[in-house]
Amino acid sequence: MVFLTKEEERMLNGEYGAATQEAMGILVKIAEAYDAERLLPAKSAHVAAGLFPEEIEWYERLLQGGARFRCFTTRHPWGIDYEHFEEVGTVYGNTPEIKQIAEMLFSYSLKMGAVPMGTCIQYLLGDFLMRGDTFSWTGSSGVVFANSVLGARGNMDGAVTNYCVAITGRIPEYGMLLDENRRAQVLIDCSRIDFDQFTDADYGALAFHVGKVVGNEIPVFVGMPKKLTLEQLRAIASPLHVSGAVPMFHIPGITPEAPSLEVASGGEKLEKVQVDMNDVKAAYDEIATTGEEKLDMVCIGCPHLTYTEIREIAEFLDGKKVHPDVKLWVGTSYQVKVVADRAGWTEKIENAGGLLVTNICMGPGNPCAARGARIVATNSPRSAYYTPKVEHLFGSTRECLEAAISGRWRGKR
Amino acid sequence: MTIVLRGRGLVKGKAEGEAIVSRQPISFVGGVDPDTGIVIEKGHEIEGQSIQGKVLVFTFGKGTTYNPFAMFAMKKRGTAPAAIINLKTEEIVLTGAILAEIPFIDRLERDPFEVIESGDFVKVDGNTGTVEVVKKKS
Repeated sequence: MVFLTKEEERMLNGEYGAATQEAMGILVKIAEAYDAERLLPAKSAHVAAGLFPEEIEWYERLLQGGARFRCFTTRHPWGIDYEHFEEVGTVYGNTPEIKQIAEMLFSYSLKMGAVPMGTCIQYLLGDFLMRGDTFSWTGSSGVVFANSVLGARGNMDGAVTNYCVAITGRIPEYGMLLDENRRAQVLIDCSRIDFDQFTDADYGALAFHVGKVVGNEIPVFVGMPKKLTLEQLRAIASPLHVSGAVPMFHIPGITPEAPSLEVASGGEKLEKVQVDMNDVKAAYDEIATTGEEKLDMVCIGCPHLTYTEIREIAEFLDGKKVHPDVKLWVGTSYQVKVVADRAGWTEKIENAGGLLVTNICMGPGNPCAARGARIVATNSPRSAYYTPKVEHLFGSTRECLEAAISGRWRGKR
Repeated sequence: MTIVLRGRGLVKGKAEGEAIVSRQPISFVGGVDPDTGIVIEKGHEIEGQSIQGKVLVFTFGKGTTYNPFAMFAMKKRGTAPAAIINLKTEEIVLTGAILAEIPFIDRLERDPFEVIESGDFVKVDGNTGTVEVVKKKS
């Protein structure tokens, strides 16, 4: 049986309104299913919506039942680029009617108290998590990053659970919230890889390979560089739940709860998997779905880009022109874009013929096919795997940008 | 022949129907057509078959966090399964079953894949966690 505090009991009994009662009922069921002993206070939730019109019935019911988010809650992209709606549109189209529906679906979470960030990198923009903090987020790349790099604790929760956690401010204690489930289970030995020339795509390809190898187990990487940038850590985090079902990784010295390999594994001797450049190259072949040289689109921004990435793209594009047959979309949050506008990066990207898009998912929700794209180059294994209805070329940001200029793919791997 | 199995009822309610059984994980987003209830995932064990109104027996859920909404939409469109029996409960399918009010049972005392075959007639009682299997005539 799940132990409930007096306040949680009151939520379940309906004393806090119908929405809180329904949400608590669902969380108690989850706790029961996973034999959780109790619920914990939740620090953060991240919610999304927008695939099925029937969802509206549930959001209406929650609102009428007094739903109001009790923990800090942010909103995933809702698919409207307010500056370029006609040009970017949504996967369902770019008409004013579609925009209105997307607006309405978004409005519910806003009314319930979400901070409308419109991004998957909420953890970089004020959703501040520290070691041990609990969260329920949509978007697996953020979940892996928060567990592994921030030392926060969350499961790969579904969209309904995200809302229930937000509404109650409580989270069932099971899975990744418990110490015993967070230990490393497989040792990934990277010592044969020379990381000096490693690109963002190389890190992504390596992680894509590792996700496949470990399945749903937790890897610990050894032989990695001692210092990794934010962007490199994200490139590692993002594909692990795409090719596998990995909620977390350890890198001793970086992962907060893993000062050493021994601590990461809880002292257990681990199965060892050696990885080398052949594995990385094989992952490239698997991520790319086409060998065509001529492309019509380049999409970079899954996950959404950081300040550093936007600046580097802008500097590369400065004075160049995107090929007339190619569209270039660079995706981030609109908070980052405000800074990019001020810094002049947006202007450099736009003068070259590219578009800095905001509030758009560049992965599963990428509308590029609906805008006519067929062959798309990306630096993101996640984007290549999830973006519907297009073929993908895969390589580093640099290779993608060079292809955007020349109109031809010259990726080296 | 009728076999009675005990399990754990996680979503209450009674339902009955023809069994459809898959040992493979199922994603309701992208894997099933919400307008028809037909499994459309390429290469899936039950590709081309309908789960509408049936007792769906499978291992566990996979795929995106939007699965619960797909299940809810299917219920509203009349294409959802009548009940679900899972080998291992996974939070995303469970929350979908709760939202869509689909009786849901796990932890059967015997391996459901050894007892239930597609085409058997199955009665599910989510209140008591009981499953009654009427074997099809072979």
